[in-house]
Amino acid sequence: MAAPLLEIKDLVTVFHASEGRLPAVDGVSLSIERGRTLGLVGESGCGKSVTAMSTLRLVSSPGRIESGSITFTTEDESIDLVTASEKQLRKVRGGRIGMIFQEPMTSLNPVFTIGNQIAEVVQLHRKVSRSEARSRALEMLQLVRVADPQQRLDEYPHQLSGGMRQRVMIAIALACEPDLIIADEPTTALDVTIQAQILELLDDLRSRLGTAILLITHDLGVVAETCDDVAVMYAGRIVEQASAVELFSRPLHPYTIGLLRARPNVDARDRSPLATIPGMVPPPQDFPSGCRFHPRCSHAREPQCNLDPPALREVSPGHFVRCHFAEEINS
Amino acid sequence: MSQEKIRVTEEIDAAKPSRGFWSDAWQRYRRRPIGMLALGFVLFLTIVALFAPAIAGTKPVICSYKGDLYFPCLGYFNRSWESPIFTKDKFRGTYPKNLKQKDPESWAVWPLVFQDPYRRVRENEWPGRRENPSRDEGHPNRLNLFGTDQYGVDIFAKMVHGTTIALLVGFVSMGLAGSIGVLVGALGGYFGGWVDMITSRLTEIVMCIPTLVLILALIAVVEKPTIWKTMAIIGATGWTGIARLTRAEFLRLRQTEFVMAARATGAGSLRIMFRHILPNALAPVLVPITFGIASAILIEGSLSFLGFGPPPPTASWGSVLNSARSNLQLWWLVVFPGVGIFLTVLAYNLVGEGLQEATDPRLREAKK
Amino acid sequence: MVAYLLRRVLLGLVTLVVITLMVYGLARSMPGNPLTVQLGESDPSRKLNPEDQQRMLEIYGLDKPWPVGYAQWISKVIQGDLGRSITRKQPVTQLIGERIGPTVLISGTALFLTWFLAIPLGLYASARGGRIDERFTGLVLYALYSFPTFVAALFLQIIFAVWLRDTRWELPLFGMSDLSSDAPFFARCADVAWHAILPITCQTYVVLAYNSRFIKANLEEVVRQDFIRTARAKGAGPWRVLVHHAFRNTLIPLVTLLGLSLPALVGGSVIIEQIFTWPGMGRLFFESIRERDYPTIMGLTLMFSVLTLAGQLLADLLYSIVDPRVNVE
Repeated sequence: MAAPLLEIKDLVTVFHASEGRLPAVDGVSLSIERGRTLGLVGESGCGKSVTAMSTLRLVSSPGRIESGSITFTTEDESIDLVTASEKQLRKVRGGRIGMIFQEPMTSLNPVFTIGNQIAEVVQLHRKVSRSEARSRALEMLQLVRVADPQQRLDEYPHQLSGGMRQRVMIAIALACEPDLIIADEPTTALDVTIQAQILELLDDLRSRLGTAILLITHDLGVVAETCDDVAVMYAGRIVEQASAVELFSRPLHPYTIGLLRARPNVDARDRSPLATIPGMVPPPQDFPSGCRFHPRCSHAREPQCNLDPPALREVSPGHFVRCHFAEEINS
Repeated sequence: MSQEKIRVTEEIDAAKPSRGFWSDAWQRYRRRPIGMLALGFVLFLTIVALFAPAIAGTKPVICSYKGDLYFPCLGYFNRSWESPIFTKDKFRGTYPKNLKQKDPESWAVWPLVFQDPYRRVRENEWPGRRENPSRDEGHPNRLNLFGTDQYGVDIFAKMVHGTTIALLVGFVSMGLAGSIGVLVGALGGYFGGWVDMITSRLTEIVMCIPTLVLILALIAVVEKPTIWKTMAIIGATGWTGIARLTRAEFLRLRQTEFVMAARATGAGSLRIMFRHILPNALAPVLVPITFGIASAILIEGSLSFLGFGPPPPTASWGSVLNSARSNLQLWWLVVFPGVGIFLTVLAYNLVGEGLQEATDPRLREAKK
Repeated sequence: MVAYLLRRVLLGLVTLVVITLMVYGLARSMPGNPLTVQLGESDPSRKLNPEDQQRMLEIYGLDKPWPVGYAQWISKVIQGDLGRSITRKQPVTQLIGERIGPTVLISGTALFLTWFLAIPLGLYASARGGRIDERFTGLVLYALYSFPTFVAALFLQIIFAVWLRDTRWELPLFGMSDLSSDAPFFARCADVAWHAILPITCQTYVVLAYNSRFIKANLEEVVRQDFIRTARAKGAGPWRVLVHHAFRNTLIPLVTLLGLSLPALVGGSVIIEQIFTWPGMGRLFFESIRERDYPTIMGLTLMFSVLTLAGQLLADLLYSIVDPRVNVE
């Protein structure tokens, strides 16, 4: 089998703050195959956004990638984004990997027109004239199904609704036909009905253009609808990884189980109260010893869970879990 | 998570500027070495200003004369604080000789530097010392640390006593400007409508008239300017920036939940304005006041420099510079007061900047 | 748009009336009058006897209470007449016309230099933010910003006119020109430029320090915004991100600053013109207050206020041009 499109290995990203060295991402490994969608799931503050930012080395000071590799393989080359030069990286950003952010309201530059901002990414990566870039921008607006694309080209971001702006962001991300799109909570800031439209659009574009997607979200419902594979992240680490089908039918890690139980059930007959996981994700300065989930875990046992950090192990083909007692809990 | 935490603590801050807010601000301020250095310098100036007569002067700090204790040096702060006995006994301001002559039993503690900011020290005024040099000979020397001016008056003594003026100018005029600015801004921002219309117009009008021109005209109007009148005029013209900022803060804060809550409990407008809103608007308003102190010192310097300052014998740094204008070859008349004004203005600006960074919530979040 | 402009202009006119009324009242409240101050100070023997003085005051219309005087002044202004200077026996407009050139020479050059240097300095400071060289230049700029103009002027005078006297670096102490008016044109230009170096330096450095710090602070604010991350994610280089994306956004506060500097362009600086005895507007203002020359004071006040209001309007209009979110209406 060929190398995966993107392979993150043992990524460590730390923030240096007055509290000391804070490892927001602590040894994350992931891989994404061409044309597939990987969902990265976790509560806020677990490090999933930092993982996404690290992939394109967009983490800004005081954050820094401390170790690990991010190998990005295209038809003609394979480069490590962690060690790549700034120039190589710029070719990848926007050209080979597109990115969509959480806040469509603030992610577009307020003083440039929509057309301008889509055309910019085309001009940055392809040798095209202004008018060619502009017609490409129009084409992209049509592709992401923005109404009145011709007119929108000359409008400014503040004249558009949140959903429209997110479509523009998708257009920017896709304008250079990248191999991968990193979508960091692309629907969190939007209304529920708009959320569904945007997800549908992303899924449709993936199947038409063959672009792989790394979808970062805290919403398991979104994952279930759109992803092929899922990785669950907790306190800077991956705790469980499997195909979406496998994970939803046979979750192994107590945290994943908790997350699945915490979802509201639409089934009208089910009147049982909504389960919650007690406590919150610890911030990096307060990561507990041993298994980082043990203070919130109902199955935690001393001394293994609070002293011995569990390793990520493969319990069945393609299904990885970071728990000492995964099999026991689920038997 | 951390985002939520920040938001929660901010809400608590907004509800009541707890001691936590100011001690937090102080913690952040302390981390800036330059800001601390500037604060240290301001403290140093305050000490110099308070003890000016004990640092440089020709009057004893404390003396025993005919069986009583006196503090003649206080006469530098206020003439009437110098015991009249010394005028009756014909001291004519020269203590060292007269004390011994008129009362051989007397003793005195002298200021660190025996020099006077208002007159030339004469020969043998201090037994065995020469007269202060004047004109070209007034280079800085052992007895006149910063040199003397064209009339032989010691510059070091003038500088030390001028510190009092410089600090007073800053605090008094900005105290006045701050009060006017906060009042005007608070009225406009809180009540809005036609009150805001009037206060905003008023602010705009005062902003339209060039400050220095307005001040010069006002100084002419008050006739016989004293340093206090100068301070009042600087204060009365320097409140516009503070008013605009206070207005903006009040506009923002009057919409917040805690003001609604206060109103719901039946608190009156004045109480809401000054008990609930003002403490929360204080941090952003303090910043332009600090910068204002720096600019008030600058303005007083410019006025004295132009010859419109308080009349002699008031020792102000700007008036020393004024005397240098016609005596450019006496470089020490420029360098010492010039550096004095510069460092003081710089220190206040740095303190203001430190305060801004320590209290600005946006900058605070970004630093996290 | 037209309605907006009309409203602004009308509001401005009201403001102007209030300002001039205040300044007129203030000027007339100053002790003495043009006749006593001017003649009495220069030569006590030439002091006018009370009858003559009364007659002169009647000629200038100064015998009536000041509100009447103001009414007369403003009705003349509406007809386009700023009156005649009492102490200089010249129409005020002509007087302003003579002084405006020297002032614009200084402040115009200073304004150009300020922006020409402040923008690259601000960009440089924010591109290298936090590095040792940036911290050093930042500190120097901060020190310059706190350095009083009048102190700097005296330092420069001591260095270039006293210490460097009789060297090729000597610069003239004051005045605008030493040559007579029949000297060749280019020699006169060079002489004026030679005299202008110190005043221009003094007027440039403070504003330069302020503006570059202002630009840097605004850039730092913009660079934290989400759309800058978007620009980087598009593959734009650091220079393009800074200049194209970030700087374009800082133009919004900058045009306000530019608009507000309009009055200083023509008003000049009282202090600098006084120190270097530069025959400009600031000095004229200073002298006219000292001489109680009411028509000149009022003419200058009017001009200055008009420019201030125009500058504010200009800033608001430019604002709506550089920021598509703002609509003046």
